[in-house]
Parts: sequence; structure tokens; C-alpha cells
Amino acid sequence: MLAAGIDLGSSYCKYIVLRESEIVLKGIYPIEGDPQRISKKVVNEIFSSLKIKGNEIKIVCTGRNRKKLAIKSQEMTEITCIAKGVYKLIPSIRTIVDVGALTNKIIKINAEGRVMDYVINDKCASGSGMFLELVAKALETDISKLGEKASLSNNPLSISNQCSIFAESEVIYLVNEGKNESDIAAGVCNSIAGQLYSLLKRINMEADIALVGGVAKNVQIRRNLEERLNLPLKQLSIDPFYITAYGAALFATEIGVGAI
Amino acid sequence: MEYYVGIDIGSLTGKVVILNAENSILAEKVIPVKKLPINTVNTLLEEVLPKVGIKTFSEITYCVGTGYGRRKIPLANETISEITCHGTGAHHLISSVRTVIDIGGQDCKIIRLDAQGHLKNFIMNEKCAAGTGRYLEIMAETLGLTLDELGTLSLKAKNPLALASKCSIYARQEVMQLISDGIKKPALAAAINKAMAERVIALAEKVGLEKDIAVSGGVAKNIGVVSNMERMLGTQFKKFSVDPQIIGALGAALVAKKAYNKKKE
Repeated sequence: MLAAGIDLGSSYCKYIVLRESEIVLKGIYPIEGDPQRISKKVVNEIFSSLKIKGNEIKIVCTGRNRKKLAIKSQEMTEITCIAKGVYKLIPSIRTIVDVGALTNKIIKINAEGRVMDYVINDKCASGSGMFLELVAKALETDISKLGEKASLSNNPLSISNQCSIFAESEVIYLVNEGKNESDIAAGVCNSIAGQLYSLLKRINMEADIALVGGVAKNVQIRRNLEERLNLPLKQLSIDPFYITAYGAALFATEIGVGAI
Repeated sequence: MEYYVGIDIGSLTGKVVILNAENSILAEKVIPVKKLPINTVNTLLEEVLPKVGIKTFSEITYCVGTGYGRRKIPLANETISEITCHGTGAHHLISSVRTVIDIGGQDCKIIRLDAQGHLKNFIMNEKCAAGTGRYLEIMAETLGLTLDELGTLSLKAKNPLALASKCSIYARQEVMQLISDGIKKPALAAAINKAMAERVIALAEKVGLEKDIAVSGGVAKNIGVVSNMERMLGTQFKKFSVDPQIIGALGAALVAKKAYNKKKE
């Protein structure tokens, strides 16, 4: 039986399809303000790529826009799905740092993988993926290359604004002043790591710790957060951007719901 | 002939006012900022100096710089905070004003004045883009409207709608979603202006709002935001007889005249 996890987030739709717990298909699309349209595209892609019909797959949908999925499915919260996915890959994880496009979350799980506590920054986009995206644009660098660029810096600048919009202006100003772009990028990455660290301090964190979400691929943010924690972050065996979708797909394998 | 020059370099626009000894405005100009503050200053001066017949900088009697970029004005004899300049400019034009709400590109200030126009108290938001001109700019862009259209279009809204998000980034996401849900632009523009007005009033209530009230800065030109604030406070604002965007620069020019006369004594 096939099981799909669709993570219909605020900026990206990520999906994973499992067959007997092996990943057989995955994909990612930007939402571009229209989750319904993207979810339709993703569902069509799953059905046509695997040449299947509705009753041959179970679907669990998660993410901020999960209610917008084009077809009927089981819904789960992101927090449950993230915990599920991370615990399956590394059972020793007790604290998960998830950097989403708009919100950052810290999730604590116990030895059975159960969610014990969590904190969310959902008042403002400061320190989120969107913040990184704005800055990448201001630096005319692809967001996936920003971490590498930052890691070349010997002299990271300090970014004084927490507000993403103001930080974007600050970055533009620093670029115009002729400051080194790696130093600016490092300043931005360190600022995000600092905000994640503050959020982590609000919860009684416990090792092992994992960083997930698209931003987890940024080497500078990882390294800076590790320095602040004085602990290594565990590396996941799948792309950390897909972890929520992966958790949703794992749920789909378990729950006996005919999704459509 | 005396020329008192006030230059206000904000985060989104640069403003200049030239006054004569009788406090008459000889020239004024508002331009979008250039990449570097110094280029903004030079462009402003190139625009206005020929209009009043000034050929060299030495003909300028006294110059005061203000605003976010005030330290990048080589010509300025001195620099002063924009709080003082907005207070001075507003009091000069409307002496009954006790509260100035200045909504700039990247900040929002509520300035309380006494009957003599002296600063009593102020509060400022420069930490969060919500409630500043930048918020409206982002929202206008999201709707594909100019800032002017965002103001006028909102008056056509029949069913006012409320936005759930305060953060500019969240609000943009929310508006994009509402667009794809088929909500019309006037309703969205109205919701945006209302959210903007609510943010400003929430800040203002922390220092109190004494009448008369006037609004300066670029956002004062947005009829949607201004009328929402008036409705929320149940009062009519005093309107400036000049472009509300030049109040800070006008205040700087007035301060220039005062400072020059004091030095002469």
C-alpha cells in the first residue's frame, strides 16, 4: 500500500510517498499565494507518476494550509508530523528546532517520540525562513547558497534589526555601503541562529537536538547555533525540508483511512 | 537675502525646504531616496537651489539636517532629531496642535507638544514595520496598487474585513491568500488601512492623544488611513496647508533660522 504525506506550508508544498516505508516519490513546489492550485498540481503529479487511482493510496495532509488541500485527506498538525518524522529517523532526539517560512517552533519529545511541550514564534516573521529569503534577495544570492557564502566570512557583521522588513533595508544599506557580502550574509545567519537560541531557552531543552525545515540546510545557521549551544546538532538522513511531509507519510502508513 | 535650508533624509524619501527671513517657503522638494544618503542630498539640492537662484553653497545662510540619514549631510551646520523638527514645523503651521502623528517610511512617532510648541513627550516605533509607511508600501505592492490608489480605493469598500496578522510579512501572506479566495481589492485595501490605523492608534494611546491632532509624513496623504484614525478617535484632524511630507524639513529650516539668529547675537 502507498502512503503520502503532503505538507502544505505557507511558502512551499512538500510531499513524500512511501511504499513499505521506502521513499518512492517526493517533490517540492512554491505555493505562490495559491495553496489550492499547488495542491491540485501535487495530487495530480502523485497519481500520474505512480499510475494509480484514489483507492490505492492513503494521504495525510499537514502544514499551515492543510485545510486547502484539493482532495479529502486525513489532517494532522505540523508539530505531530515533525515529531513523528524526526523520531523515526533518530530516536535519541529530545528537542527539535523547526524553522518554517513564517514560524519557528521548538518541540520537545520523550523517549517514545511523544510531544511533551512546544513553543512557537507566530507573532512575527523575525528569524524565520521568509526573513532569510528577503535577505537572500537583497544580496542577489540564491537562498540555498546563502549559508556557503556566509561561511566564508572572517568578520561577521552584526544586524541590528529584528523585524524582517527592516533587516532587509539594513542589508540593502550595508550592500550599498560596500560591505563584504559574506560578512553581511554571516551577520544575517548568526542573527537567525540567535533568535532560534532565544526560543530554545524558553523551553527546558534536552539533547539530542535536531534542526529541521528548509533553513536547516544553511551551514552557517547550523554552525552558529551549535556554537551557541556548545553541542552538535544531529544530521538527519533525509532532506530536513521534507521532515514534516515524511512524518505525515508515516502516519498515512499507520492510519486505516481511505483518503479519497 | 537669507536662505534657511532644512533637509530631512528619511528611510524612503528625502525632503528639503528653503525659507527666507520672513518664514516664507521659497522652495520645497520630496524625492525617493537614492542608494546612498549623500546622493539623495545632492539630488535634492540640485532640484531646489536653482529655483531660488542660489549658485553656490556659500549663499546658504544656515542649514539644519534631520531624519534617519541626517549624519550624512555634509552641508548641514548642525543636525537635530526629527522629533524636534516635526514638532517645530507642526506648531509653526497650526499653533493649536498638541499631538503630531508622524508616519514615516520606517517608523511612526507620536509627538506631544505644549501650548508653546515645546516637546512634552513622545513615543516611537522603529522596531517593527507594521504601523509604518513600509507596511503600506508592501501591501500596495501585493495588491498591485500605488500608495494613492490604496487610499482612495479603500473608500469604495462595502464590506469591511479584518486582517488577523499584525506582522507585515504575515499580513502579506494573508492578503495573497484572500486575493486567491476572490476577495476584491477595495475590501482588501480597506482592511489594510484599518489595520494600519489600529497599529498607529495603539501606539499613540501609550502617550495619550490631546487635541488638536495633526498627521504628518507620507501616510498623511492616505485618506483611508487618516479617516480610519479619525473615526476611531471620534475627532477631526487638523490639516496642514502644505505637503504633510515636508513638515520635518520645514521644522529643520525654522530651527536653522533660530540657530543662526542666536549665533549672530
